Amino acid sequence: MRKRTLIRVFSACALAAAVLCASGQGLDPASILNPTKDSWPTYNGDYSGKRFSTLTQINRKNVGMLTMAWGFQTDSSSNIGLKSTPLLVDGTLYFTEPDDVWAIDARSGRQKWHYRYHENEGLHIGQRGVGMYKGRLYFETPDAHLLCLDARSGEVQWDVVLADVKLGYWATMAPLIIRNHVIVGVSGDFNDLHGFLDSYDPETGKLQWRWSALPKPGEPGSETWPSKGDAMEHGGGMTWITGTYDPDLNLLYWGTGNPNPVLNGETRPGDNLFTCTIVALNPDTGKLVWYFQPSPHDVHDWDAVQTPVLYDGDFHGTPRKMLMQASRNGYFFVLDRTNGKPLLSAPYEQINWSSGIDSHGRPVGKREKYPSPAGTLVEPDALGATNWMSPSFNPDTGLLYVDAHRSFSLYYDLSNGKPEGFAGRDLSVWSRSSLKAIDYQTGKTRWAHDLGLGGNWAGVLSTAGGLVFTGDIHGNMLGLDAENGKTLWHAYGGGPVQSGPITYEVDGRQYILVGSNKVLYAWALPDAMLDRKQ
Amino acid sequence: MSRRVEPGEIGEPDGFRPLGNDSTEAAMVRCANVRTFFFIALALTMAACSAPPPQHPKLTPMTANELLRFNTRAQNWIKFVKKQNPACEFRLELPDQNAHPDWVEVDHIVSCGGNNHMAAFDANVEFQYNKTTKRWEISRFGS
Repeated sequence: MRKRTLIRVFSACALAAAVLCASGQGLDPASILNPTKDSWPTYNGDYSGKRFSTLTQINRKNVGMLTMAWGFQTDSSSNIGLKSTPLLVDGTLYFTEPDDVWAIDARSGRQKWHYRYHENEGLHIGQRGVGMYKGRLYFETPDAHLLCLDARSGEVQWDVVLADVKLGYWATMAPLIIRNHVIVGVSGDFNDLHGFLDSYDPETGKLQWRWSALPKPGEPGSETWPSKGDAMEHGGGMTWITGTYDPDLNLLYWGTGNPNPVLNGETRPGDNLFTCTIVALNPDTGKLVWYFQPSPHDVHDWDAVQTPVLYDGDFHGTPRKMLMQASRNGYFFVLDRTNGKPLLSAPYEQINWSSGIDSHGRPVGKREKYPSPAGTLVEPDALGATNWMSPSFNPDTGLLYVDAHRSFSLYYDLSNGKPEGFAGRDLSVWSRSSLKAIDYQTGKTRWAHDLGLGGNWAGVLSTAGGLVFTGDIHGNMLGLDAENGKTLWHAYGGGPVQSGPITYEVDGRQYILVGSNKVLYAWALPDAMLDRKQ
Repeated sequence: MSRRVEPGEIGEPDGFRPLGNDSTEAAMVRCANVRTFFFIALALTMAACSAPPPQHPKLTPMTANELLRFNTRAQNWIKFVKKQNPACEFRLELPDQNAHPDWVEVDHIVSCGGNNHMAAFDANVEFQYNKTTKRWEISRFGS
């Protein structure tokens, strides 16, 4: 009897130890390929960038009954607020502000730890989130460092410099983890800098490869820059939004930012590759496989960094592996992601700067819509028809949900002599926001939900429950009908919604997380409504 | 017999004399000496305890603006703000420095064509006098 009891105690201890060990291992990168319903293991939820959840506990019928499960108030002194998408691994949520990382319990919102980076010179305009590999987190700081943190404690494991803050670089993006690669990009278009994408070893912080967004003389793409002078070396092309990944093709998809000087192309005639471009890279080597340029020779600051959303499905009767992007310039693109060939290029927002599409599916800009000393009225403004806000694609509806802006702006060329840095200004004269549901087969808007005057900066989440979650600049958190955009639920959060909502299910309860200013809210159905197996 | 003192009358009633003798007069003299000594000591103590003359110059608007101009974070911030509203500029209103503080904090330093305090664009800054370098420096820039 005593022996049997000892065996039971021993077995229980062994099981507990195994569970503890397993939870201490953190995130296996392979699990990002098929995330479980109790996780949100990477910036976009999975590698595809769809931000679509198969969870259905919260659905059209009951979303109006959502109640607040908990709220977490950050204690940062920053005015920026939450712009990050939380990660959820092993019951712990990780999210950020420019100098801060928090780990909190996904069930209760109780803080586990808080890491604060030291005072620094980087530009503090937002932080999109962390990446995770096993038991480690990867965090980009405003002064363009990459930190590796212990996910259990927040302690710094290593710290590498991505770029020199003194030159004008900064960093905001959430790293993407692919196998043993930590893929990171940088920001900084105030000065005429050089954009790049890096891959680091997750264990050591050693640089594995660097892809330059600007070619060297003689390399492919260099023919799109002037052959004389240093325009190409200082031509921009920042990589500041997290890309996506196709494990079958082993291709990494990433968008790049505007060329420099900004709002003036006099010194850089040509298409200016690989700025304002969607590129497909080999994630093991950083080698370019193909590219597509949404905004050749950009003079309006319309980065093409918006999430390249991946979807396998029918396109006009043919099965395709597609990549779609609602770009900042107002065009919606569908590409064959095996080779970068365009399948569809169509405006999703009203624009006046383009005369149509060329034979490569690229928009053709009107010369008369370039910035001028007297001011040129252009639609949209420099913030674009959309921006960094994460879109969402629902395979059930075939709709891409995008936070879209209609806007007009006066673009001024302010250069005096050789244009440098921000060589112009745009003065936005009017803008109005809406959440648009774009049919990927046609590029046409199925429905639009008005979000009011001015810009709007909330990301989007869609679910198999027939819902779309987003927010607005006024502090409203919204649950819309995915089929027609009607408001089914809303709550006031007290400050602008500028982050991407996520969802997960733990202990049989589905949560919707939305950040509003400096508060992260968790919403769920009332306990009495849940049919949970205890 | 004393007369009645009318309300508001100043002085002592007629015939009033303080009662006293040599010892009380001596005591009064000692008291006056102690009082004099006390006031001298108080004056010396106050002189000793008062703030020393300032060891550093006041932060001038010119210095504050120059520090902002050469601070990477501040310059990045105003460039970012001006991207969205070209009318925005730093506008510092330094607080009173009669007490010669070695630390000055200024809130709401971004003004956009008179429409300042826009939360999304606003910033604040802290200046600290560095006794080693004998210069004012920006110790913190918040946005």
